[in-house]
Amino acid sequence: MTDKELEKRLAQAAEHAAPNDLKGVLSRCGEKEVSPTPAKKKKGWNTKGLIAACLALVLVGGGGGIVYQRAHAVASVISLDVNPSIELRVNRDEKVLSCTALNEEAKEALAEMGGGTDLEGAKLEVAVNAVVGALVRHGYLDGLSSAILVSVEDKDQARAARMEEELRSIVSGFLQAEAPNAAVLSQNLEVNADLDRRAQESNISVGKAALVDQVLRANGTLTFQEAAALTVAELDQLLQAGVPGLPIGMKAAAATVRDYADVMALSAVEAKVEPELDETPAHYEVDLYVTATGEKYEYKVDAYTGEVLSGRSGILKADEPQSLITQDQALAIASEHSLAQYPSLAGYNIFPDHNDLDWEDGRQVYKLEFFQGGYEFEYEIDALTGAVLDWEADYKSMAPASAAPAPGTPAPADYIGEEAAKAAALKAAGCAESDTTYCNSYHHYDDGRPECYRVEFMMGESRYVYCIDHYTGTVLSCEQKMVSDHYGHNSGHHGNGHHGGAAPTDIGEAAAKNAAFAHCGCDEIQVTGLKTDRDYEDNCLEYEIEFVLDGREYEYVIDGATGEILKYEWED
Amino acid sequence: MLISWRKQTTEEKPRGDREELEELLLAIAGEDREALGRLYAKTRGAVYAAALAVVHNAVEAQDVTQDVYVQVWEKAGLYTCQGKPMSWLLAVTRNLARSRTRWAGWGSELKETEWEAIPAEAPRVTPEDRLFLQEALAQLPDGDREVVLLYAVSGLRHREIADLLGIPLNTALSRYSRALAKLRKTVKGWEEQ
Repeated sequence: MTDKELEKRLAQAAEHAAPNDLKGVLSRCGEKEVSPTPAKKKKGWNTKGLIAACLALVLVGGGGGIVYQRAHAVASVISLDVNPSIELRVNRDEKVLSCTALNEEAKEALAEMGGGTDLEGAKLEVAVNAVVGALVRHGYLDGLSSAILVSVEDKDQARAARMEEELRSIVSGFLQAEAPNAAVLSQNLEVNADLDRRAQESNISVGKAALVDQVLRANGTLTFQEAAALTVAELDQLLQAGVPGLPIGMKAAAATVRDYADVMALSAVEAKVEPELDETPAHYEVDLYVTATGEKYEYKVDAYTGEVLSGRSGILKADEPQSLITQDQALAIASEHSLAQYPSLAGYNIFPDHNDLDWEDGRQVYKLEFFQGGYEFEYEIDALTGAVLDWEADYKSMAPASAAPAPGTPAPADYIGEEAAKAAALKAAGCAESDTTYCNSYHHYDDGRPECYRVEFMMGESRYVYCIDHYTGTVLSCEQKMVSDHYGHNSGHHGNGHHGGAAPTDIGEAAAKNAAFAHCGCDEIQVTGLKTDRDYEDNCLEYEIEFVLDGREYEYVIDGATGEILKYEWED
Repeated sequence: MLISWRKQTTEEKPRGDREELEELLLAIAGEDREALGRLYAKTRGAVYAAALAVVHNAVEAQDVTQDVYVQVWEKAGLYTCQGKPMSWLLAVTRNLARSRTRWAGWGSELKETEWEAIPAEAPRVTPEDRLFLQEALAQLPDGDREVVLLYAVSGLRHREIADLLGIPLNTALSRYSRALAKLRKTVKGWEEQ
């Protein structure tokens, strides 16, 4: 099944499983609300109007006071919390009586609206849109983990529930376009004098105070002030994680990383922090941006201990490559280690497969993968000290280690022997052993039974693996794979990755097929079962070409940028 | 000779589809119920899949799907024509779905949710659909599953999917490749049985 067919099957299955209930949808779609402009008053006085006007005059100071009170009495308190906390007080007509910034961050966000006074008299919906817009513009809602809490406090619980639903919908609608990653949380609250007091003491909204209260109920060792200092997103994640303790907070995480990266006093380095308290281990993701160069450095900080879990220290210091061991030295250390673990591999050379110099837990680490006598090893070597940090060995489809034949083990009399197998493979490849950088021949086992001779050698930058029949010396299969250039971090080709920079180049399907046919010595018209797949591997464009020629199945992987053969194999 | 050519691309889909969806959204903003019906017919599979990728549960995803179209009916006027109607629709979907999962998790331990893709009553679902949507996708990590599902059902470009999910394009591409490789292997296993 091709990838296209797979995608089609998935789409079809989703279509079949999706609900088909348009009636149900339409039943919930009422007439849309007309914009809330007040009905126009008729000009001139009619009789009823005149009577009403007279009554109004008579009742000034009495009934007029009631009207005034209705217009100016606070019916509901709406709070919007991210980390800035903003409180809107509205009357029964849902007009804003006041808009207050409860903390310094909120004051900054509302500065463009006269600190909130510009919103007085506005409809609640308009004011909420304006406030959320300001929070988005100030970057409080653009993170992957950001969250806004909408709270409605009202004596009338039915009204509170209705307003909560409406406001949640308004904020969600606004954020869909402006900050699609932000989550919208909402709640409605009964008026609670104790909560009001504690909210005022901590300069947070009553809504956030209610959230803090939930956190404290889950873990009584925390204090109100401590929890109130966290953002809504942190509190929400903390609740989801069961409130195991008090996290250090986003500011402390940023400061820790700045200190670790040695950029504490530099304003030219900006820090962006995302809490991930509901992950294991709970941590903060901190990105440092060096304004001048546009470089970005990523860190993880343990949310409870403040330990920097990963990321590079001293980012502005010049690299000191001379103090690092070389890749070859790292490989030698790994090889020595692997031999100590598996002494029976003493006769086998190592064959590097995938080497990389990377940052891990704040230090540079060589990540090495290599083959040796049928084993596949993975090592992490400290690039500074040469210490083996981690290693893993995998016995690749051969007999159990105890059953693996030691190099030079005499073959059964009717087997052609390792040397003859080697000669058969080299002949098939059209080269001599002196052309190879290493050449190993050994029994290959499948489920503990001898399957063939496996001959591995390296020629140029390609690794060859031949399977040779035990008895006849016939080549059963062949595989060639580009190694260092394709996977090495200093790769010169494969410039088609999507890491920015120049536009990707693509040789096209036809050129890729021609490269495969030329290597195989055939023409398209001769082959059957031709399949071509354009794909990305490690972010590099590749063409996978499969075809059958004279009963033999061929598979090629062609570099989509250069036309180079990265890998080919055939099997009868 | 069998020639199978699959193009994985970040190129745009034909403009026709996008324009049609935009026209439908504009009509819905003008209270055209028939347009809502047409949008529902054209996109419900994609919306359901996008919701499912977040909530992992068929019943929840069905609820989210209905909420999405109610929301579209109410908020279509907020859509600004930028040639990305499907992105907008799926952003609405993901927000509603994520919002649902967040609320479900409030005050309680976050639980690993199992992948339950097929609703109890789904007369159109074939045994083969069940294999692909339930069995095959259950084996994928959440992130890989979401990317491959969105790519398969929505017609969005890889870049648009990356933007929608808030992940780098490279991540979206590698998740997609990894998911397809695993699905191919699974299907091959079925074929060999």
